[in-house]
Formats: sequence, C-alpha cells, structure tokens
Amino acid sequence: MGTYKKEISGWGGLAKGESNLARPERIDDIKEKGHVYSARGLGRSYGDASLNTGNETILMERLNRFLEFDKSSGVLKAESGVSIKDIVKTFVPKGFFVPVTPGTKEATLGGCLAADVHGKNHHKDGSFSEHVVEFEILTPNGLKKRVQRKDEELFNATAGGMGLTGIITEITLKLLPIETPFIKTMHTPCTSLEDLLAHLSENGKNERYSVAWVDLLSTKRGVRSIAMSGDHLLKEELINFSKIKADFEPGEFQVPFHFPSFTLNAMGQKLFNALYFHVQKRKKTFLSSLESFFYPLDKLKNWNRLYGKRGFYQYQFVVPEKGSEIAIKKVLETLQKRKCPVFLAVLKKFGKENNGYLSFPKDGFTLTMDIPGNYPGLFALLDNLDEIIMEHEGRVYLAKDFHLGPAAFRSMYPRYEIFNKLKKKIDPEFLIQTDLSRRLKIGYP
Amino acid sequence: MKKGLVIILGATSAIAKGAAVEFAARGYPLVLASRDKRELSRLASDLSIRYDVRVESAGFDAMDTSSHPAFFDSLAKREEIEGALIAFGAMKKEPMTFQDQEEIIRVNYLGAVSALSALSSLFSKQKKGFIIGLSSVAGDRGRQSNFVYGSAKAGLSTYLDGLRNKLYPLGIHVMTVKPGFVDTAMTFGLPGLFLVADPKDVGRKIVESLDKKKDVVYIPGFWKWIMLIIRGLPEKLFKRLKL
Repeated sequence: MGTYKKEISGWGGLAKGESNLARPERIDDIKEKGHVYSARGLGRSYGDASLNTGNETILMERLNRFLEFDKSSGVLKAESGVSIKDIVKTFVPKGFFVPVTPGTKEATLGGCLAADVHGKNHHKDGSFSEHVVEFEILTPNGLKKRVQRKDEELFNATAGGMGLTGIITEITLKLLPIETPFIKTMHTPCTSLEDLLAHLSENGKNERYSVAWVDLLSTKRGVRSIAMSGDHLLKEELINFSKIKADFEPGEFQVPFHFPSFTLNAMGQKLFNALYFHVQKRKKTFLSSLESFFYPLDKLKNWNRLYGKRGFYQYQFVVPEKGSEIAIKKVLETLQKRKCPVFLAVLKKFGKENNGYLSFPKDGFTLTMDIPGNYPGLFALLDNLDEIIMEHEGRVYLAKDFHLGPAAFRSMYPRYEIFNKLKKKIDPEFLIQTDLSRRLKIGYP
Repeated sequence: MKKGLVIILGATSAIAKGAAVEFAARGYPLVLASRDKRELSRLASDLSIRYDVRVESAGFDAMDTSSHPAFFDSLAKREEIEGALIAFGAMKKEPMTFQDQEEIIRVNYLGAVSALSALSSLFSKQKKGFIIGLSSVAGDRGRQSNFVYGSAKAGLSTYLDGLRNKLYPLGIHVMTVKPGFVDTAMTFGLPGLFLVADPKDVGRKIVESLDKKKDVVYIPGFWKWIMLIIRGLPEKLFKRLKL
C-alpha cells in the first residue's frame, strides 16, 4: 500500500498538520502496524480529531461497500467508509432513512460512530451509536473484533471514542422506515432566549425533529430565533396536503405510493414543487424535502471555504436544562462584551446521555456557534467560555474542539478514567493516537 | 430488451469498479472476476444492494493462463453475454528484478492475450458482443520511468487493433481504452503525477464511450492531445528527457 506525506486539515481550516497518508482499497489492506497511526473518514470534524501530525493516517473513504441489507427489518451492514450521503441516495427510494443524521451528509459511518453524532431528533431518538446493532473493529494488535452492545466496555469506549479504540471497519445499522421523502415542517419565530428555551422544551414532547436557528448578530432587542420542527410525512397525510388549493392538475396527483418506486423523480419533483411553493404562502406548516430540512449547508459545497483563509472555529457545548438560560446568557454576554461576531448559531434540546464513555450529548440544551478564525485572542475567549460551561456542569463537543486542555477535558468528561482503562487494555503499546488525543492527553495516565 | 451478462475481468481494480457501477446502474447483470474472491463478494453485495441487479463473483487469475480455458468454457455455457471488460493489470516499483518484469508482461500482455482470444471465440459463436481492453497511455511511447509496463501495454494495444480488425465483419465491437493518470492504489503516493483522474469517472466514461462505439479512446480526453505531442517528439530530443 503506497503512502505519501501530505498536509491535511480539520473542516474549520484552523487545525492543520502533515501526515503520512495511506488509502486502502479493501479492509484486508490494513495490516498490523509497528508505529503510531489513526483513521480518517471524510474529514468533517472541525478541529484536530482526524489529524495525526508526523504519523500515519489511514484514509477510510474507499472502504465504502454495502454488505448486507434486510428489506423487512431495515438492517444494513456496511463498510465504515460508507457515507450518510450514500445511504440517503440508495435507501430513500427503497423507503428508508438514516435513524440519526448529523448536519452534513458527507460523513462516514465510522466517523459518525467515533464521534457519536447527534441529529435534530436527539431528544426522541438519542444519538447515532444507539442505532448501531453491532460493529467490527481492527484492534491495534491486529485482531478483528465483532462488537455487540453486550460487549459493554468496547462498545461504550468506541461510541464517541474518537477512533482511539481501533479502526472501525464495518457497521450494522438499523435504518428508519419512511413513507414519503418529505418532512412536514413548522417554523415558529421566537423573540427571546427564554421564549425559545421554553418552546424547545415543550416541542420536544411532540415532534421528532426539533432545532432552532438563532440570530446572534443582532441582539439589541433580545435574541431572535426561528424554531424549526418536523416529522416524516406519512402517505395518508400527503393526501391532506393536496386538499389545499394547488397549482397542478388533479390528474397529476397520482403518486406511486409503493416503495421502492417513490423517488424524487420528474413526477415527484413536479408534485413537490407545486406543494412546496403553494404551501410556502401558508403561515407556518409546509413541506420540506429531506435535503433542505437536514442538509441546508451541504448545498454550498465546501461552505467552509466561504470563510476564506481565516477559517472559522465552531464552538458547541451542552449545559443541563436547569440553569441553562443563565449559562447561555453568560456566554452570549461574554461574546458581546468582547465584540466577537457569531455567524451561525443553532440551539437544540438534547435527551438523556447514553453509555458511551466519551459521548457528548446529555440532557439539556446545546448551542453551536461559528466564530471567525482570525478573531484576536480567540483561544483565550474560548477558555473563558469553557469556564462558564464547566461552572454549569456542561461540556464541549470533541468533534468540533481545537482548544481544550487536558484539565478541562477531564472535568467535562468524568467517565474518562473508565475510557482510559479500556484504552490501556486494547492498545497497550499506545499505537492509536491523534492530534486531539495528544492535546487532551486521552489515554495518558 | 433483455440485458445480457457483462463480464469484468480484474473487477477489483478501481477503474473496473467504476465501470461495474455504470453497467449495474443501467441494469446489466454482472460476473465479476479476479483473484481476490473475498473482496469480489463484497463488491458483488454492494452492487446488487445499490442497483438491484444480479451480480456474481468468480475466481480468475490473469497470470495463470492454463486456468483460462476452463474459466471461459464455463462462461460459454451460460446465458447470453453482452460483452466483456478486460481490466486487470500489474505495475511494479523500481528497482525491478527480472521476476517483476516477467510478471508485468505475463499479466498485462500474455494474460490479456489469453483472455481476449477465448472471448473472441465465444463472441464469434454468439455472433454478437463487445470487448473492452484496458491499455494505457504508457503504451504510446516508451519512457524511462515506466517502459516495461509501457511495452506490455503497447503490445496489448497492437493486439487489440488486430482483433478489432478481425472481428469487425462479425459485428463484434472491440474498444481500446487508454487511461492517463488515474487515482488508484497503483498510483497513490507516486511522485510526478499530474491531471490525475477519478477512477469512478473513468469507469463511467468507458461505458459512455462504448455507447458511442469508439474504437480507441483516451480517458480523460485531453490525453489524446498530450500523447499526440509526446509521440511527435523526435527521438533525438525524447531520449534526453526525464519523463
């Protein structure tokens, strides 16, 4: 397997480093190593989680085959380099969606498990690892292990384990059956943070998907936001939407309902456009395509490049519900006082935390913010924000992190000791490391 | 119209995979052949899940020419075969032993000749079919960095010309594909490459070129012009270059 030295970077453009890259075309190409290495999927983590400066980085993107699919149960077994995009493209026409999807389709299954990604439905459906039936992992001593939920230690160390327990090679995932490729969406504008938090808490009980886009650039008269909620449109409901006056001929409304033939093909697209453009005029409820509801940013391919050379830092944290309003207000005040612009901000309600030792989501509210990378004193500012977060028993998302130190990490992830024990067992020679793991001293005594 | 079987030899190579995807997407049942049976079955599962076509895998070793008659005989007994793609190849890094060189010649030329001659009689009996041979721009002119591989591919290209000529009256189309630099395991990490193409795109373009019944096609197309220039350089000049 040929390798070559190249600089790779995190998605935010701030973390960079030169690695020895290898790109296996099949899982068997990955041999036992006598040196430090790590794996990388599509490189969507924002900081240094997928970097391994000065060492070997195995690019998993070509290990992307579907291995088995059971139509009746929706259980899919695939190589870890398969992307969410792959799954959406292949299985939506067959009547299945991803049970948990991050904000981008360009993420591999291996990466999703390693970061234990969450979606707009965390409060109802938990995070990615909770839908993984089992997975296969190549441990540092060259063993191929099949890990099921009952193999608690290795399962829970790998879910959210940032790739540090081994190379994830195959994942078995239970897909979500859907009846149409539409999401019935509702937008609710909110005029204050208080309002928004209350709304999101309430909403959590009803809708499957719920998230809020927050405008932090104009906070003169309180924090404005749009809370977005939705759920998959059922076949029978499609008929309801058609009862609204629409600009298409009654004859055209002959949607073939039996999957796998229902796709956004020419007919579906016409229908969708007709409904979408008409319903937009109605006040609150309308139909979104899966693409626009879940992946609005993917449309701007390489949207991170819009930030240009300065790059950007994405800061995402979670704080428990109790005291969350105060914590978030303090964070916003700090940013305002320092005149730090926040370009994109998203707020969601999280459900319970799972058993992943280093998994990020826990019950409370999570706020995600894009801060320009060239903001002077950025890291000092982030340290201040960390203090507020830690004071309120919250934590920062490792998949986006590029500034935490070991002390902050240990304080935010109290189960790190259990993780370290397992890490020592499975990787006694400490071969799997990343820039992130060295920065946070994960696995160090 | 029922779609016949498409056979892909050397199916686990990146370009072959790209072509397999395109054929599968068009609904052709496939037989994928290579030495790596385990990888083949994974590939077969993937294509049949994605495209709902029948995909089988079979063991095939280009170098082991004595095994070829049996392999092609078993194929002949099957349902109608739409066509075949010869996509196996081998390249070695310098410094090379004679054994390495022999392998390059055996796989890229001898193995291909064996397979092509068997396919030729198979299609002649059927009186229809297509054959796609994967050669290379390296065969257009011997250059110091890759001339053993280049000479084997040059041999293959000339053989394919002759085969195309021979099978034309029978209505069997023979297409020679000459890829330029492609981003595969063969080239990953090699210095001095430029304008490297995505194997998925190359695979797709192969099938599209077949649609247009091209005879000799460079993929990506601009390599036609590059090689025209390269071939046009007088030897007195070319021998001094370090390509």
